[in-house]
Amino acid sequence: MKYIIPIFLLLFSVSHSQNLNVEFNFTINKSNDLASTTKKYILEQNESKSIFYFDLIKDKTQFKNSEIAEVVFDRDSVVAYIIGDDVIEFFFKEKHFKDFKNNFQFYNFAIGYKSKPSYIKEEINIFNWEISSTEKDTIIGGFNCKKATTQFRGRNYVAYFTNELANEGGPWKFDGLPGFILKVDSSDGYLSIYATKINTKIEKKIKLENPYLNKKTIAFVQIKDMILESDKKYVKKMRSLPNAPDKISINGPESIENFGLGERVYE
Amino acid sequence: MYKYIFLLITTISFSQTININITNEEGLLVDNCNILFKEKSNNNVNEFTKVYNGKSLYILKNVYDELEIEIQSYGYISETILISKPLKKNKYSYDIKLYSKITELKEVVLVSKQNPFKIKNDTVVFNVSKYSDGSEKKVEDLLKKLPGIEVDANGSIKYKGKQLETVTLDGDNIFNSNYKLGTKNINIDMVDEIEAIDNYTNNLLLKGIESEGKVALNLKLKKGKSDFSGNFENALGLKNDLNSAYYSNSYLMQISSKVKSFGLLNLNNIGRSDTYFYEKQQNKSLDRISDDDFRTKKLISDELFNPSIDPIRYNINNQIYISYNNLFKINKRLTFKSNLNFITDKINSNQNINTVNFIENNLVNTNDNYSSLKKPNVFSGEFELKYNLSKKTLFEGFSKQYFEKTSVYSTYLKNNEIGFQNFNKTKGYFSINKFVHTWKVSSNKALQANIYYTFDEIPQTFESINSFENINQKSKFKKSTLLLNYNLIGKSKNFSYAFQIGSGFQRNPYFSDNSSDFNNTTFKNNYYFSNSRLKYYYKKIIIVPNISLTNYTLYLENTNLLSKTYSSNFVFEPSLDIIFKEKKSTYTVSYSNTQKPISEEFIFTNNVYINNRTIVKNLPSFDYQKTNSLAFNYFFNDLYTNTTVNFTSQFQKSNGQYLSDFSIDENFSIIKNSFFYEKNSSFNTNFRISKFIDKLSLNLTYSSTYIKNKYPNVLNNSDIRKNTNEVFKNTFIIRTGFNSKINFENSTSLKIITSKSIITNINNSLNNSYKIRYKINKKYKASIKWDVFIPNIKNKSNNYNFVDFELNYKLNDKINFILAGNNLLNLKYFKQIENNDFSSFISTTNLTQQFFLFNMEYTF
Repeated sequence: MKYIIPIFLLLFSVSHSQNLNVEFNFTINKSNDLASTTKKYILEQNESKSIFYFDLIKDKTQFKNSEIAEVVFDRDSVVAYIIGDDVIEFFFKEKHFKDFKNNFQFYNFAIGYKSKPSYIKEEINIFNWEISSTEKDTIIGGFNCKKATTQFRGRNYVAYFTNELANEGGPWKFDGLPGFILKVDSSDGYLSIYATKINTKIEKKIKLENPYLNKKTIAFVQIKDMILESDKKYVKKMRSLPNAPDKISINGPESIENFGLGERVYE
Repeated sequence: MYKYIFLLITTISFSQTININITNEEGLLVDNCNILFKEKSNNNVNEFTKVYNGKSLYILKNVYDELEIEIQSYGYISETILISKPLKKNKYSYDIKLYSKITELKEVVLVSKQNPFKIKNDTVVFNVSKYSDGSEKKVEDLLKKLPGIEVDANGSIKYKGKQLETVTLDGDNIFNSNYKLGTKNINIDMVDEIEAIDNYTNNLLLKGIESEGKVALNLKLKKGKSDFSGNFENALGLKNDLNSAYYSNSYLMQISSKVKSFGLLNLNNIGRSDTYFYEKQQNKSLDRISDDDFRTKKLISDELFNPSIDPIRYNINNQIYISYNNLFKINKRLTFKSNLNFITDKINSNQNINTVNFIENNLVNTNDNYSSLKKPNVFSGEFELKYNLSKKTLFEGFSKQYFEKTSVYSTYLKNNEIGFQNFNKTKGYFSINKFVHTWKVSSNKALQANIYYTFDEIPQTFESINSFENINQKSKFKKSTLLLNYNLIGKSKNFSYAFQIGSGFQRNPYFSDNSSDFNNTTFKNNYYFSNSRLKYYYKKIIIVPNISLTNYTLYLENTNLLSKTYSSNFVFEPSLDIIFKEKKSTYTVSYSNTQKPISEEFIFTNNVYINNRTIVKNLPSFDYQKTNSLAFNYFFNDLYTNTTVNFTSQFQKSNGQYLSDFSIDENFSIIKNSFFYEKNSSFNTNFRISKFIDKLSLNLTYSSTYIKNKYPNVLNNSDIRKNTNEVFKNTFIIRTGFNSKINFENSTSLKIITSKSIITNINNSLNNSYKIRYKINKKYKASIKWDVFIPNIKNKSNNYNFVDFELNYKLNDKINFILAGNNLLNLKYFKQIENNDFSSFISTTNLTQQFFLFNMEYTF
């Protein structure tokens, strides 16, 4: 008997600490389809924290129409691409940190590729989920998943989560379910996130720290003020041109969440 | 202070409080847990909470019958607590011990088995690469494989059982109803995704408000390096009589943000006909009016009969077809669209009809033999200008002009005795001019005004000469219409509505002249109408009542008889649709009551020769044909298993109609139409099931149609005869999609036609079409097609076998060489038998010859 137990420990682990490394495909279908992307993110999670990050800013195959995408601007942390004749999209390095115990998440955010990045702090539990009653569980990657739906900042989402990987966690802001979220889709087809690789076989314990610990952060509701500031700069620039237009109307920026701004008209 | 205490007590007293302490085997509090609260009977998780540091004090938000509490934590075995009928004021406390669970650490790579389709609200997006097996060449070939989409033998497409409005390119409507130009010509390699759209509207202002349930397809094209793409095909070969055979089909497509254009040039003499651009149109605009409402009648027909086989087998042609379609987005507010089509052809045919008429107890035999050359020339120009004055206002102007000149020269032999030289000429000028103003009052309400001015003039001549007789018949129908309508449509949470009022002024003169008879009649129809339709949505049910009120003032001025008659009537036509929609199935029950006034084909009273044997005249009256119709429809579409089921059943009964009174002898058939209050009815049922069996890579389609028509007529002074005509058709199609080198498809069709009156005529016909495809290697592909027709099963010796082959050599991505041969067994004639309630016809037609072609195709 004594000899059998060590063998068990090799193959399995009685581990209460979840150590997860999951790779996700994050697809955004923009209204101008040329700008649509499928970005590859990685999520690392331990029993109290997680980081969801995007590094592959130089990989243009992540554009839906990658054959006609070309680099137009290349810095260390930002790369801008032109797709076709006139569509510009940019990739910047993203890090999204979650502290489950204290219910806070931190992430970096940028409006345009030339603007300075901002750091946002907000709570993790910002979703009002309704777990759907289904006869059978959906199986994703061999894990039994339940389905949940929610309405979040202007869109309806369907998510699949499993308690066989962790007690919480998920890609991007999605969280707050009794399990780890492996797949999220918005019902209008704008957003689609799904796991492509799940790894729990991690030898060393993952150590995660808040990368924005000493940075000045703003709240989510302040993003719209930032947008209005950048509006003003844009309007100033337009007004300084010869043949300045009388009325400037600005829409957007097109994003996953509704920032609380509609169309702005400046006269 | 007392206020707050009161609040605290009330919250506690009306809900249950659950207090749980969670420890592990070692007695330590478990750091991180989830607690789920379920209703045991349906196992549904109604609420949940997170627990940190092992202690939870939670107040339930819902009421439970049998409360099941599940305590979960990663790495531990879940524990469950069951509370039967938890009491409202109680506090329940538990100490739970969780035991460790052995979890396997693994690394899983998920194979992205993406769905071949995506659902985005009202649109289904099909990924072309996931549905193709490499054998498809044109868009139409792939559409046949998409669930919910049905393509018939002519290339007409239905989605969810409804005819398509159009097929758009990257969201832009460039083809209008002439979508076959795109689906039959554009190479499927150019298309990335195909979107099937429900609730399509052509008018962007009305998006979200118009709820007519129109359907359309959108082709999302692959983004290439260049704006231009196209396909040039040129083939040259020999026919059996050593005359040259040629086929040239080329298209050029330009897709850019400002301009979208599609140009096509087709020259061929191997029987391919592209007459679909002036076919009967199906699409209707918001005011429920389609172009066919403005067309008048072509009385003297230039067709003898069309055999029930693919036209390519008997269409001995010499055609030039040019089409140019252009959409130009001048600026943000202004777009201009033009569609120009021109076709000129020379069609040869030799046809013979042997008829046996059963009249009383006698048999009257007749024979008609034609050797003809038909030269149709049709030009159409459609122009559309759209101006978006603001986000709420849209002006549209449409102008369509069709010109036709068709001449038929033929040698006619009557009853194998008397010969004639015939000359038919038809000219047509059809013009539709429309102006539309749409005003979007609010996000869910809009007003639209439409003005139409149209006219259709079809002057025809029929001349038949021999040394003894001379027929010189002139016939001209003309229809001019001025129509105005005003529409209010709106949509709110539970219902949508469409109200319409309008008036129309229609003038329909008819003139005819032959040496003995003269017609000069004008039919005028001035009408005022109002139409109200309400759509009420309640859960899964949609109730659609519709009321149509029309006031007709009809005039018939008959210059011959110097008579003027007039009638004014008020007509009430209700209809009701009830639709029950589930996730994958839709059930519809429809009832409608319609009343139709006289149609212009019945307004003339004196004889008109429509061919050497047939003379027509009428006794017009202002009677209305009242029809009651009841229909049931079931539609099931499962995108995941690629299964579609469609069942339709309709019963229609009319109180009366224009009845044909036939007087037939060896030389002439005189038809006199007049209104009789004799009931007629039609019952038709159609069932179609299509399924793709993934494991066997087989696509199976079975369809069955049964039509029963009961109609009256009079024959040679008989009493009114009550006749029945039944058609029963069954078709079974099987198509394989194996990964191997060989694939095949087979279609078998059995048709039984029964005509009953005093005597009964039954005819059973069978046809089978078999095609086998062989992929020899990466560069070479071959296919053989074998069609068998047995027009009358009782006479199996009268059978026809058509064999065609094709050998394809792919030089590279851009160039293809094809060697093809048609009608290898060199069949020359096709004979079929048809029957109606008093006669039986044997029709024989000559066929296009055997030919061989060498084709070079260049794609870019």
